Amino acid sequence: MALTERTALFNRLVQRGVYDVTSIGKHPGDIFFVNSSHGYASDAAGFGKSPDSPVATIDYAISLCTAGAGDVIYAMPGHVETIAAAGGLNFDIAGVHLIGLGSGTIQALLDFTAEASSCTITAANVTIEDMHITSGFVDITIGFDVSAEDFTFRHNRVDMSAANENFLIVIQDDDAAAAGRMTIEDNVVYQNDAQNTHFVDFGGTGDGHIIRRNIIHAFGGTILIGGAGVVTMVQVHDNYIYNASNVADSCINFSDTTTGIVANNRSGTLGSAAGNDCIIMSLLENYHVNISDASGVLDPIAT
Amino acid sequence: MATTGARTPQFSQKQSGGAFAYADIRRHPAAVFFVDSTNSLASDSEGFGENPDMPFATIDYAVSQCTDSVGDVIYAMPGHIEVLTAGGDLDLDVIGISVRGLGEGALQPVISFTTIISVDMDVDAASITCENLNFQAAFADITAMIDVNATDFTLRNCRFTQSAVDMNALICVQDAAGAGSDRITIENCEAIMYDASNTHFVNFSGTGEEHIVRNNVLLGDWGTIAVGGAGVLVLWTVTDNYIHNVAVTDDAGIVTAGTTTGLIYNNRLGYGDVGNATTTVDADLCAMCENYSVDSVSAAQGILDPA
Repeated sequence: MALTERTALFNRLVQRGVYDVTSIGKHPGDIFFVNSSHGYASDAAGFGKSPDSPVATIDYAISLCTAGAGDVIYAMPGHVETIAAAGGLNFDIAGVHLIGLGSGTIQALLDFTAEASSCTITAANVTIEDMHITSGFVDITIGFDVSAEDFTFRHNRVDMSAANENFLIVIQDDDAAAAGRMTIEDNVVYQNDAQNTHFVDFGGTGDGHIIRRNIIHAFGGTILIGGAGVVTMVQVHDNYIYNASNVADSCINFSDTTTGIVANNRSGTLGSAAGNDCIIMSLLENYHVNISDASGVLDPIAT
Repeated sequence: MATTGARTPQFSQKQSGGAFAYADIRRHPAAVFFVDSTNSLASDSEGFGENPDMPFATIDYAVSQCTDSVGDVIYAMPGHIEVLTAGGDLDLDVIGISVRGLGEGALQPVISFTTIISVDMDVDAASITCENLNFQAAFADITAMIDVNATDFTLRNCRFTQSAVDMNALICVQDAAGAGSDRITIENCEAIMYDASNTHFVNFSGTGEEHIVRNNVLLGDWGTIAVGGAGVLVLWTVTDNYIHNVAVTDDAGIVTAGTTTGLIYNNRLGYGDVGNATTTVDADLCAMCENYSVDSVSAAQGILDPA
């Protein structure tokens, strides 16, 4: 076998003579570290290149990134990013990938602390992964406002910091066709306030959205997954939903002309035997139950 | 190509003695320690534990070297055996640590519970994870192997076994602290605990919230409840488990208090009573879809449970 000149574990020169090796598959561009709990953290030049001298905020780390390069930002265990205004955290650099480290009480945290607090996604190809996201105020209008393509929301934990502190909408597809190919996968969601309306609200006309393998315990007063937008070729599969509302068709519900596939989802609501409404989509093996010590049945029924 | 970034996910880490290592920061955000009872040089003392060739001798000592809330990791090397002889003999009491076993089969690190029925491993700090360990009962009728007294405890890819016939634990995992132990996650684990005195695989006796039990294969003889308990839980998730419980009772599968909320989807259960029943999954206020149970002493297919 011939020797390769450079493998996925490539080497590179770094500041102050340190030499390191990384996987190019996961880190094609620059890497930055954020840690608000670190005594030496600073949003200033020279910081952010090492977990031992991190920057203090994700917002500042984003400003250090280069559009389209695939830069990665690591939020270290114990990091807390407080989002106190609309657009308080704005992903406006294309291709940025935020990854939280730590688990449980030390998992890196995005804390939304005002009714208008939101994280805006205004550049394409942004990924948010492994973060703990908490609603720290009453009836926050929108958590993540997505107006760019190819946004990925992966393996995050979304919960309430206290009773009555909640997101009315966790993720809002905000910009018609511009926000195509949103992927929401492997998240665990606890948003059980009775004022809530949506987990993800597809208001636009995007295409190729993917919502899969999420566990959602929430109150969906309108629709947990879906919305009024006419989206094209969406795939919704293998989601497990507990919906504390009694509104019919409030689990998975898309506009009548939306196309795509809805398969292998499980859902329950407290008071309605109808969970899903997706007229011209391919519907396979979706079961729903009106919670009452009984097993769910195919929804819609087989014909 | 970027030329800056002093420490990357394959980061450099200086160690005592001048060694130099690379590690993935996603799995190792802070310090890394090594434990190996089979290494003749192993020692629970200063200067050890930072290298697999000079490891600590016990996980318990390694825990004492960890720092709260930074994400330290302890690796138990292939063949490591941690012998516990008393209640709390292994106490995971540092926030945010992970204990990861290396090796498979007979080389998978073993936590051996011996000597006395009250022997156990305590989880007394939040956000602790155990992966790829074999929790092995080596004494008769141990009361409970793992006693969880803190939030966010995760068991992943672990095994629960008996060292011999009659070497058993009545309970494998005990939720012991009421509302204090929220968010227990048990996933991708396997249990073979076949003693007829056993009562629970996991006993949720508290009032915790957001527990997750998924993708486990559990074979045993749990006379009370395999997964569940008397506690009133909030928004628990029990999905995709395969349970073969030979106890001669038809309501000992997934059972919780009548006012517990959450979801129970896609589980498969067998039990040792004659005749298919629809009470092996019993959770009045939970959403339940596609759970099947079967009388495993007859040649029959399972049926939806509940009906």
